[in-house]
Amino acid sequence: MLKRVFVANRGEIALRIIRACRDLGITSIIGYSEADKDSLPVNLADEKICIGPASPLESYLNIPSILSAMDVMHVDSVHPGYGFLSENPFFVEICNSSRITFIGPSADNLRLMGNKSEARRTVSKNRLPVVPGVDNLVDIEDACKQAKKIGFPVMIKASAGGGGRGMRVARNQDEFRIHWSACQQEAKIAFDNPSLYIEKFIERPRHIEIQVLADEKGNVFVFPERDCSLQRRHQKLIEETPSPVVDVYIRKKLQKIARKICKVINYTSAGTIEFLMGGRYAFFMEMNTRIQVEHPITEMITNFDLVKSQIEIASGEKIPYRHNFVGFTGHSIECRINAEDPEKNFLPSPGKIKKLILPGGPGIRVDTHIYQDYIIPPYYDSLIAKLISYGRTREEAIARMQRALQEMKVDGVATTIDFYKKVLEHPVFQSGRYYVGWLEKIQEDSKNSGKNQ
Amino acid sequence: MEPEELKKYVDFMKENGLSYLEVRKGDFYLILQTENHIISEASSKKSYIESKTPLSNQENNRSSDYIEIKSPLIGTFYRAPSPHAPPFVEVGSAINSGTTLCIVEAMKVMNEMKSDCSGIIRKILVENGSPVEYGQVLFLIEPVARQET
Repeated sequence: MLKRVFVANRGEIALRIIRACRDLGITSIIGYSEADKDSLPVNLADEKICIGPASPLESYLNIPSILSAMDVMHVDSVHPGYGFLSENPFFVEICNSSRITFIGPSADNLRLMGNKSEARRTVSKNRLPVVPGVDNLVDIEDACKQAKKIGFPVMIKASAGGGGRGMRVARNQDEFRIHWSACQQEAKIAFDNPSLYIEKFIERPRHIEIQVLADEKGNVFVFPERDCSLQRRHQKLIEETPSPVVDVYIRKKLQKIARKICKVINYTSAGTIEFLMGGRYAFFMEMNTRIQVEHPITEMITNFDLVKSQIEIASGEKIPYRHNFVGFTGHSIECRINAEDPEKNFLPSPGKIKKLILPGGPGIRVDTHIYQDYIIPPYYDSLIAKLISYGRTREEAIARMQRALQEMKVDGVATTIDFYKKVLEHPVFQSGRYYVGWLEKIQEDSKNSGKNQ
Repeated sequence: MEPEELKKYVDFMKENGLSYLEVRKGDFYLILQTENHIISEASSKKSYIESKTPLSNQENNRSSDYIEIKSPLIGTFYRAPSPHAPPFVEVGSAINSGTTLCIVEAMKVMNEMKSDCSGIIRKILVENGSPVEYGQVLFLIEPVARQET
């Protein structure tokens, strides 16, 4: 078993990793920026070391600094969390040459699946369904022709992008030309790679994903699907498992595809295969080669500890479970509580938490790094807590989540708590018949109706 | 320095209720102090204003009159250029801007840390061969005018 894990992240996920280490009885060492000096994970880790100033580029993304820190603290492994360096193949390779175990997949896995075009090509080569589209386009004329062939509307995406960044919808040729150039520029700046691909834009799709866990012995486990269709600007806000629109046949189909992909690319550790569903048709969209924000809902219905499993896998251990298709019971929902003001177009709201009341009771789990009097720094993302509910049925999970949202109080900053209360009351959410884009639509509608009053 | 520039600093102090302001830009060094400034007051008000000055004494945490030299790197602190050589500086050494104070070794690269102020070394806070983190205070310097060394 690994003995000294460097936690190369911050906030709630850093705390999550520290807790997994504690459960395993191993030492956690956190690398933190000056802005996170007083944060909860820094105070709870077994050891800590300051790796730079507030700016992420100079701290959490600063590979030389993190390497020095790992060297000086004599760690044997590193958990990158999500975001930051979690999908950086260069970082993985440096860890390998420094004989530090990277708790995650291999550099090759990251490189292959990190290029969204290559990922699609690999999946398609194996006769698995991908979102209809064309990859590796550079010439705008060629791209335009292909777009017409696929049929508008189309989605233009950055090959080196992912996680909802660097994508635009074009509904006709004129829009296509405008968005194409804009996307290329954005991609060059954000990902240092102007390569784009196009996909058929599926109207009213559902975003359905399958969690995978693979050990170094070649065993691949697949979990029940998560429905992450409730998004705003391609950022997930509410997730649930299982999906209200996925039956046992669709589930099996998606899980088999996910397993095949993992085996074909020799994947290890945790990951997620994301599908776009239109009606009963499901298409591979992309693969996330890291532990994800929404992993807790899967843990609730399967009684697995995914982060602990990652550490065990990296230690060379086998996953002690009999069935490759992991069984589940009950239903779980997660609300990502962000320090943002929904009234002001979700403007981030950093600052001091003057009064904090966290919910609890039956079927409620809160993954958070905030505490009374904590000052939310302005340098990082706005996620301050993950509110997770569990119930034997979807109705029970919803009712418990509503109870928790009612109890939760975060005074001093704006949060999305009230926004979620409204979403959960909405008949479309209750029926489970929402789709990607629905949340933004009702947000627009409520804004406009507010204006007209 | 132009009067307009001076006024900018004075206005900045007034707007933010400061009683003491220290500015360094390369060779340029300015101190502005109001009548009611109390020198020994510990001022730990953190300012999120980025500036391009060397990292070592960004914030003068004035718990005493000393300037803190902070490590801009993570690594191992060495007082001398090699194991059997004499240390670069000792307590009481007079230093100037540009004097090498120590080495911080990061990943087998020896980084020489140079002072950006003049003064006398009053305290050395880290033991030879110890690990240091980003922002860790290494030396306390009593500032004086340029020294003859």
